[in-house]
Amino acid sequence: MTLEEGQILFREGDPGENLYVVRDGELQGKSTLGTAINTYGPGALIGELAFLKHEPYTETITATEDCELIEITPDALDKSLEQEPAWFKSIISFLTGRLQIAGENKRKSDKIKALPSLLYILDSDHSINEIFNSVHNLFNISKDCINELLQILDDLEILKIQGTQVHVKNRNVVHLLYESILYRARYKKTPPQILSMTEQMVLNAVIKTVHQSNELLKNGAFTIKTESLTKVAKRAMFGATLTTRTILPLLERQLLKASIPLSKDDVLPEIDTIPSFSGDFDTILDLMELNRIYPLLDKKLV
Amino acid sequence: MASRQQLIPPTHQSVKAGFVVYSPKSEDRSIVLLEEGELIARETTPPYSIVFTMRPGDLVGVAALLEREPFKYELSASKDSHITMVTEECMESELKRLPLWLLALIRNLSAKTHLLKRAAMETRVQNTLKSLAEYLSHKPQDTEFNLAELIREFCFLTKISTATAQEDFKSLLRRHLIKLSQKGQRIFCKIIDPELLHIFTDYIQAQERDTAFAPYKLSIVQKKILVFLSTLEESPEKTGPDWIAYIHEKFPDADVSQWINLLKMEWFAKKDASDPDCDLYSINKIKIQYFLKALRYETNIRGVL
Repeated sequence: MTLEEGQILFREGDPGENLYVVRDGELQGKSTLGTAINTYGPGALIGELAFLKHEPYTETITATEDCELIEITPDALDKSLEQEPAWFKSIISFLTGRLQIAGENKRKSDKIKALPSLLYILDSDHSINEIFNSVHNLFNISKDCINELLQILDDLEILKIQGTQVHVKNRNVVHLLYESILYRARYKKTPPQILSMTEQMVLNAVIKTVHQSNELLKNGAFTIKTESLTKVAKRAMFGATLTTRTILPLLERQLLKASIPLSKDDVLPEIDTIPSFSGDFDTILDLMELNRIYPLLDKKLV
Repeated sequence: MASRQQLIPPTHQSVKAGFVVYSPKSEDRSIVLLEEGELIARETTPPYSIVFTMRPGDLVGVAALLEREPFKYELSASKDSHITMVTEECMESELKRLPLWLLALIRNLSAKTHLLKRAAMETRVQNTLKSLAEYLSHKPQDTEFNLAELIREFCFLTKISTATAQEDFKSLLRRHLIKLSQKGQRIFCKIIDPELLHIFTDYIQAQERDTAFAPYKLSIVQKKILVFLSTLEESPEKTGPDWIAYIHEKFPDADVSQWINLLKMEWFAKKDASDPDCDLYSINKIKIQYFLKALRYETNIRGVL
């Protein structure tokens, strides 16, 4: 078959049917999912996966000059394979499957690798177009992939997509998440911002106690009586007991501060001998939000 | 159509449980198809972990045979099995019989997989300088950053090599878009103006698209209008026709088509962007400043200092 310059061979999304081999001339392939332009010259094959898997074509192919093509129909493939031994068909399907898996893996890996870039530029509210542009400039990823990532962050309630705008719910949490991912990649271990279950239970009890307390926050700082905290902890810690030892890691992280200095020897005072605890409420809320999101993010991405 | 040559047949074997079907030490390459039974692939070093189990219909060794990729596991029968071995000679005789397009299809499937696997390990970024300028444009102005830390963070985000990033930092330094200073053993980097870096990324983008960068294709009249609009202390709201009359009064060369050009360049913003019938416009000061800055630092942006 022949195509004149400017003629379209097939469009992205058209049902996959034939395979084309370029004999002469040049064609270009463009997909709405990316900015890359594929060029097909003499000897090149067009539409292999669509041909073998009967899937829609993934790009729009336009002749950039007059072209001569060989059209291979599915019937031609069936006839050729009929003449080959059975094991040969297995090899063709193996190669097809492997190419498809490699494509999916690449897409998944691109998405995972693009997330830090997206979090990095989410320093304030943006229009979706600004985000596309910035992440594309920084990491060269498709709009489609950025959209998927934005949707994941929306599902996790990190941001809200409203029409053409993206509203970041809490910039501190985005920053903490970015720092955690950076730390994990650099040191190959759990980031310090990620708390143990016990630490999370204690902080959960602290948050509930602050909410129940009638005292006003002073510049975001709270002070809670130990008596109130232990009462709340009994219900909020699902059977675990609040002791000075369970609260110690949070004191060491300086998320909480005891109202009396703890002795430096090995003997810790009983918790009820410490009158109260204080801390910065927003810091604790942000950290708890990070700890809610962090384990969910990996699942959503993979 | 290729001629139908004689096919060297594959070998069929019945093997007992424990039989080693393939060892990485062997120099012979072949595709192993499992017809019946079960095969396991193990690592060749302690603790000799099982990597995968093959069930009837599964095959291994295609990449080893077609792409010379080493198959690094030992393959043995975990149950009495029946296998078909496609040797190099057998495959070669088969490939010779194929029509050329089918041969090309097989080679293409193989080559594309190889490319995708390689691409997954490389950076996606094509213009590393644009990527760096975008990265730095999100950093605050006049803060001193440890250069080594900046490079580490940038390379983590983009998977660009450290050497390439270092070259791009030098390129931005030559353009005076960043400042470097040394304190003891450490080098610090200061962003002179994040917006200038943002303008620079837009400039590179225009170059990539083979289009002229809007601030550098302004006519003399447009430049005069730009300067005039930037000097207006207040940004009055006027209808389109009022603005046309106002601009025309100051610049007799400017007509309706000029107004359309100014709107395209977003020098004016609609009072209510969501209302298609709204005809009230005010000066878009942000865009005006963007154009002015691009013009003022043209030599830095173009890199012709």
